[in-house]
Amino acid sequence: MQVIYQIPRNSLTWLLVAVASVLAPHLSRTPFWLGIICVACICWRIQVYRGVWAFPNKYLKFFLVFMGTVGIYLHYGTFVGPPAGVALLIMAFAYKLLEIYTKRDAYVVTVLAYFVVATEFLFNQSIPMAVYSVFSLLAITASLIGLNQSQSHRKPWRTARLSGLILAQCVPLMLVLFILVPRIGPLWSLDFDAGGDSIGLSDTMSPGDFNNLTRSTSLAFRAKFEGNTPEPNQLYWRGLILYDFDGKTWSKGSAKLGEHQRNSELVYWPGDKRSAWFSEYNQDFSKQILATGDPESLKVFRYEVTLEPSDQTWLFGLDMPLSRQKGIGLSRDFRLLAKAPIDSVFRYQAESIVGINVDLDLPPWIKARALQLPEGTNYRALALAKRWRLRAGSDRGMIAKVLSHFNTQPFVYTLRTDKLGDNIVDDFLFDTQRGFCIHYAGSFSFLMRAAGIPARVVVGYLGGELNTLGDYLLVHQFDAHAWVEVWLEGEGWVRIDPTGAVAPERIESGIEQALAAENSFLDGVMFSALKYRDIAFINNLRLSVDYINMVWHERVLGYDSDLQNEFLVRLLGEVSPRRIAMALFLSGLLVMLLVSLLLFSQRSRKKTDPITLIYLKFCEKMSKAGITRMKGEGPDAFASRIETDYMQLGDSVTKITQAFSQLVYRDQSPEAEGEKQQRSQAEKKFKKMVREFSPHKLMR
Amino acid sequence: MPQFALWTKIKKKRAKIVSAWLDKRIPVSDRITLSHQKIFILPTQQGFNFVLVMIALFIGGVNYQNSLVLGMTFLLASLFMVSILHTFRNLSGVCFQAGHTEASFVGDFASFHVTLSREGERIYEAIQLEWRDCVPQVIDLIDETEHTARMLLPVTNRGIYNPGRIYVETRYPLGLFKAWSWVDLGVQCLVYPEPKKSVFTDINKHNFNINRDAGKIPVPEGNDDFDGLRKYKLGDPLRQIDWKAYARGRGLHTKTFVGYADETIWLDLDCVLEQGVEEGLSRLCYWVLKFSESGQNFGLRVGHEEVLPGVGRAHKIKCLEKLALFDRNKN
Repeated sequence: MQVIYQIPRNSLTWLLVAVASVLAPHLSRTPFWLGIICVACICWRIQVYRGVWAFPNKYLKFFLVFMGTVGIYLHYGTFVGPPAGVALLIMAFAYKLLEIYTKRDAYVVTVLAYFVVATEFLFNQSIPMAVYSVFSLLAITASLIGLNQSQSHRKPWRTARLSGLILAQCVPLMLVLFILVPRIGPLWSLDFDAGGDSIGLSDTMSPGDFNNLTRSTSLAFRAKFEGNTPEPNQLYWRGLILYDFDGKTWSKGSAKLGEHQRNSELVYWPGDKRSAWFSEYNQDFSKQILATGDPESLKVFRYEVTLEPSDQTWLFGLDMPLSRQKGIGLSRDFRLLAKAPIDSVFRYQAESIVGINVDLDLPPWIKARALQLPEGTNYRALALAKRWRLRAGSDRGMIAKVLSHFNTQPFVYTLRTDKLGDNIVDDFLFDTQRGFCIHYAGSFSFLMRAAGIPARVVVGYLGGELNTLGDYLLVHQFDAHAWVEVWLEGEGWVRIDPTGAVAPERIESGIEQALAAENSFLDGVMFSALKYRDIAFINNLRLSVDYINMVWHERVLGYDSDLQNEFLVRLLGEVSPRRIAMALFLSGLLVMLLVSLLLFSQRSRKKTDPITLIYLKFCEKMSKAGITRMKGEGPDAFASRIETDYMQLGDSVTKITQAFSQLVYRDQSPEAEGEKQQRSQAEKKFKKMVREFSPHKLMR
Repeated sequence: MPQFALWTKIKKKRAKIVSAWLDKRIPVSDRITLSHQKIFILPTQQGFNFVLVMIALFIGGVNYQNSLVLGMTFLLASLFMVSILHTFRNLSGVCFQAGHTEASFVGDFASFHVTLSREGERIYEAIQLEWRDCVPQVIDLIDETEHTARMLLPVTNRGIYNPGRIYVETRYPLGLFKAWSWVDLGVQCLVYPEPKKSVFTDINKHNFNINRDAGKIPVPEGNDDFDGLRKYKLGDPLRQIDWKAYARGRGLHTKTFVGYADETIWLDLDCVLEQGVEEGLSRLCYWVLKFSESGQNFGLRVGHEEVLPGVGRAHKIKCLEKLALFDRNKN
């Protein structure tokens, strides 16, 4: 039987705290039985320490590990990838607690704990998580210190304080490394979905689809404009375009403009020379810019968007967008696209030129798609559109007719819609007349197409909330919106927002105002600071928190090679490997020097005991009177010198010196209650004596 | 095996060079304060494991482009660096001082006292002292400014015992580094032969030089005739206490006896030589202890050296020293 190493109590306490705190955040993601295993292992370990239970034997251990591994495989279907890998790691970590036989095992657990803390960041990088991890780190480091303290050390709080001190001393060097160590791209490609339910727009639209979105307070993205932020009614964030309508649902259509097709005909990726339509588009652009005469007068918005994970490839931009960033494509219908679904916070820069006409010559295949209509449904709407088109005489007139119809007839903008039948356009236009953006956009496009005008539904977000703290826009899920683009001869695609005909407030000041009458904004959402926007204090707090979050995302989480380069250019003037190496070396050295100065500076200022302090006060009084105690002269020698030189002082000086000697050279052994009182009385008396002592008075 | 012999030779040579180098670097002194040139520091096995975890995290952070994982890696790297300073600091400035030593017998433990002290407010923790076969001792200087460790070293050879350098090590606070030093306080102690019991008559047969003639001159502190009573002193043999008087409530008194100068036993190494010198010395040692305990007057003769008959503690120690330091080649 091997001798089992007993972890010092101090260390074990902190080790268990560390393990519990390290595992806790993971357990919300992993299967529930893993949580039970973790808790059981911690309890078992405590029982082992108390000597109540024994360590599990090797068959039981084998069985537990085997079952756990099988369970994880059954749950995740794989061992590869972070979620399953981390689950395995956690299981091994918990079991290892029951296997600490030697000091080395204890080290393995603690060092592994650091690793487990870091793996949580793969799933959650928020500020609260980072702060929480600091506490985990404190506990782990405390247990590591405990392992190296002598067995007799039994002050857990002292160990924790030491751990805090050491970690605090690490921060400067960590910052230096964080800023200066070159950020390199992935060594090998890893596709990893951090999971979590990302909500957002879906790639189809049918009545009732937006109901969830309009109740969601979560953030869709943040946008920061270079210069002034455009007016709210300009902020049409185009996300995706829906062409196909089957009588009930609008969808982006079968593959033709598919997101995942890397077909250069449909999506232009920067640097792609073969894309014919893009070069045409570019030429169009240049022509139009030249036609305006003064390119400077063109309104260009430059902005940076920080997109929350959406699990979709589409990105949001104002019309008509362009991005020079690598990895961002432009689709044939002028939307920005990412190469892979956005599964973590994604930043991109884009610019939009206002008032540019696109697709002046509409390719027939797009035209055909933009005129597609389902057969055999919504007869009344079809008939109405044909009638109106004839009467209107022009496409523009047709548009105006429909908009005024929405405006003058009793149409209501509401989230509380009625259920529509099979012919949703007919039902909406002629019966219910209650709906929100998708109803209006959908029926409007339908009417346009029925009248022979190419039209398509655009889904995205409208508006956003300006955070004056960082001067950026917050676009929430409830800002989701749908509108229409129609193609007009000589103008290209033109944006029409039929919702504006019914509820202009929606466009001018956002959904909350538009729904003010029926008070249905965020209906059913229980707790959200957004619900209390009209309370200034809560609103300011919310915006400040978001600002901090924004900075965190942009500066800390988004600190990549580009940002680093930008920052280092400002810091060092020029970025070259030699300069970075020099900066790293020098600042690292400086920081380490500071820490060692702190550690090695001889803190020799001993705590002077209070009685000596009182005596020193007496010496000060004497020296003010012209009698200074010489270096190395003891209290007794000093007193006898005074006695011989200044007779008048002799009596009181001797008394003070005697009282001092008695107090200082008293028996240091623990004292009984009575003695304590006696001593404190003697101390008081001594204090009083010195206070009342005045050499001037006596010498007079 | 000649190769093996060569290897040991190289090893011995190396040990010699190292020891000479150490003597220059950390000279022998009875008071040594550890400074930077006396302290060595290297990562431990745990330190290397820690670095492995760091590398794994770094690769993970780079591959997943995760700033926080990278930040954590950098924090661990800083922890690694800062722990060098802490571990070094935990030895730097500690003062080692030799305390008193106690002589001992072969097969027993020699006892050395080593005092560690600190100056100022610097605190030291978990400094481990290893010294030959002594049980390692872990010393804290947290609340107290000095601590005296009693080191018990098993001794196997007669004569002057010089245990050499103390190995001082610390891994505090994180165990990622170990700082160590070899401190030589120049302490030594005398090791007496192991006392081995033998029947006195046996020794007698072998011509122990015993003079049993009753002498005329009484010598105090003998054990022949009752002399009188005196007040009990600490250390008096228990069987000389006048228990009867104690029972009567008169306090503790010791009976004194007188011995006679002429009744002298001579313990002579030459008489017990046939078992070998060491065996003989061991037997003599036993009887030196035995006679000293009983207050017997005896003399000792080893080789050409002689301790004149006597009694008492000083006499005993003188005899034991002679036995300990007996050098066959010289005599």
